[in-house]
Amino acid sequence: MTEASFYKVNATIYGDLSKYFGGKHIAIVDLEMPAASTLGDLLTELEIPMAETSFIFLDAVLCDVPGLTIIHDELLKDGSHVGVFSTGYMWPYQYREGIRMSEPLLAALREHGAMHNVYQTPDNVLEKE
Amino acid sequence: MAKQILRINMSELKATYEPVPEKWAKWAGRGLTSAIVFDEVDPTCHPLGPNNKLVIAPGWVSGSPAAPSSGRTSFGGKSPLTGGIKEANSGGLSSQKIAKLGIAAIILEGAPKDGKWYEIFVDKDGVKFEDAGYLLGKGMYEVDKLMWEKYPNKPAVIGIGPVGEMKLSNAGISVNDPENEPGRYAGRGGLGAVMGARGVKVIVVDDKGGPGVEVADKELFTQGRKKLTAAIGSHDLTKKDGGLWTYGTNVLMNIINEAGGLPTRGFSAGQFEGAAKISGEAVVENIQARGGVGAIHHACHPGCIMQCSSIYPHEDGSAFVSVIEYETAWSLGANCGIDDIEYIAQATWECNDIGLDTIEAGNAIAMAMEGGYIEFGDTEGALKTFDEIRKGTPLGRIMGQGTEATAKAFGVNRVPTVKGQAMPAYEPRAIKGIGVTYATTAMGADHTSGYTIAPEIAGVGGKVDPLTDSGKAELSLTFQAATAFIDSTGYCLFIAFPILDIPEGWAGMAETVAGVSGMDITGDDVIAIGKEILKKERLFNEAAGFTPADDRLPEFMTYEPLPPHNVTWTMADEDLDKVYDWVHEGE
Repeated sequence: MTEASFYKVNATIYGDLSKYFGGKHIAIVDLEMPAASTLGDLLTELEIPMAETSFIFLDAVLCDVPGLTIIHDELLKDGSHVGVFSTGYMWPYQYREGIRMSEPLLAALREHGAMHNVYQTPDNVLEKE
Repeated sequence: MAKQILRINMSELKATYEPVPEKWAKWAGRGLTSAIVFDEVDPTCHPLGPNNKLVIAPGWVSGSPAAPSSGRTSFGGKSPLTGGIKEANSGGLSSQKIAKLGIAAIILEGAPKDGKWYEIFVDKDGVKFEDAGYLLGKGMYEVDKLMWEKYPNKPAVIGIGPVGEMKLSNAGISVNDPENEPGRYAGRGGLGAVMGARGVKVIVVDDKGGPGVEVADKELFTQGRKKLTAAIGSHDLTKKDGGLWTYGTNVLMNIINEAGGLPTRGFSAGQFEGAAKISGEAVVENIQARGGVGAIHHACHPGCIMQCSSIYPHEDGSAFVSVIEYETAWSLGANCGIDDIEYIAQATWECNDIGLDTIEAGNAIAMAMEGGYIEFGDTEGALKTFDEIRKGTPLGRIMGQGTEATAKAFGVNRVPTVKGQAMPAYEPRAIKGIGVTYATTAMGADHTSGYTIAPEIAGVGGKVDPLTDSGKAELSLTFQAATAFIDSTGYCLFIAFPILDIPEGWAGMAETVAGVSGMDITGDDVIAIGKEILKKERLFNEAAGFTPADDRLPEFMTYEPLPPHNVTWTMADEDLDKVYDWVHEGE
């Protein structure tokens, strides 16, 4: 049995960003991505303006938080689900402490401090504005 | 004029104003309710007996000029739900009005010898007692309306619904909001039953002509107020057009669901396929489509600049219910396998009217579902349980006792409680940090007991690494202490969001407290003051019979993997015991 060359992936877009995909507050997008694609590839494919994102999930794993700039090299799987939240979404730290996070996010939080609700880092200012 | 303690003795139907004794002079809000309960309530008393008391206290800054979002009222007593000390606080009109009458706290004690029910009216001229027989059996929507018809000046109305009259352990205390609706609850822990046991159906507070709140150092207060207001107004979460402003607390539904931490169908899974339908996004879409009196930025008390509340309208635009909080939508929705927002609105209205805490109510229904009495997802069956409770049928009285009583009645062994109180909307197997707080706080499983304050901002050093398992005890203690302080200020706990990220906001909060009270404190003192409050609460519970064995999560969470990550609760008991191992230091 050979591996599929394309993966079926589902993305849900929450908040203002959903308007780019025909939603009022929530939009659901089904798409196919080449095998071995990353989360970053998918976000590029969707043409999501990264300056307008906050929390991003891949298969129930937190991969991004508001204000950080992270290279998303997390690999997609066939059937993966991605959740993308617009800026302004609230998730107080105490309600996310201990949840599963991606390695790139963990590395970024070690650098910038884990316990903030939003971040204003120099690279964020440089790359997102 | 110095603030006073208003002591209302229901046995003698007598009210006395007392100077605030030195031992309580520094306290307000939760700090004061817990100090009074610690000093005056026998920890071994029956919560519904004559020796328990209900203490009501506004925060330090409540009623002071233009302190932002400062309308929380603390209610304290021994909880019939947990058997331990309880502080539950509410928005609404009461905090600022009590404070403006120069009252530091109301102590409600005793019980009427004649067995009658009473309506209590408090204004600048004193206290009046009236027979409340005509209000018995009435829900809070009608009671609030009747009180505003009877009394002038749009007073605060603190009351209990039929559940409080029946003295059931899930009875909350209602406070009316600026529209005179009863959606603001000191819900948790059954303090409505404690009020009912005092023979009091309603307390009406009119502050017109009162002395107001003295500010000891106006310059310092103004400086702090400006810093705090700026922090709230500039932070992404709390500013206008921020997440809280846009979707209210139910902004969390989809996020927690995406993370796999949304307790679903009686804490059997971490994701609910219908989450989007009951989320803040869905609520806002309906409010915008229906128009009428519907509103997505609503202040639950005068002066709130965060305005996370909303008014959910019927399809014709008329008022339905305020407010569908995240915890409410989760408890009555995802936790019961229900994705019908209209049902959730109706169930919220029922809770507001008959006087139930929504978190406990939804968990109790989930236990009835787990036990096979009704099916998960059955909205009609779930709504009937509110009728049973309202009528006081045997089943209704069991379900009105809360989650543990309902679980026992239906033979359920997967019971999501700590110290008898049901868990809120965050799965501790997936969100492990909240589990430490659920387990160890004196209040029972409570999501508001440990709000984040970064160690570097709280002045306790930056030693803790939140990304490792070590140091969780220290972290939880810091959170709990910061929360105990904020609960004493009168500020809404949500000021914690901006002041976590903006140090000037943290300092400003402390400066407003110092400015109003005259206490010599700064932001660096907050954690130490919070720990003083926690210590009293912990010692009360110890005297009531609690041991470290009560600081544990439910057994099923240690062996039942939670999808989608298939994780169990693995925190070692000795690590949990470290959270409060300092309480007896130096003895």
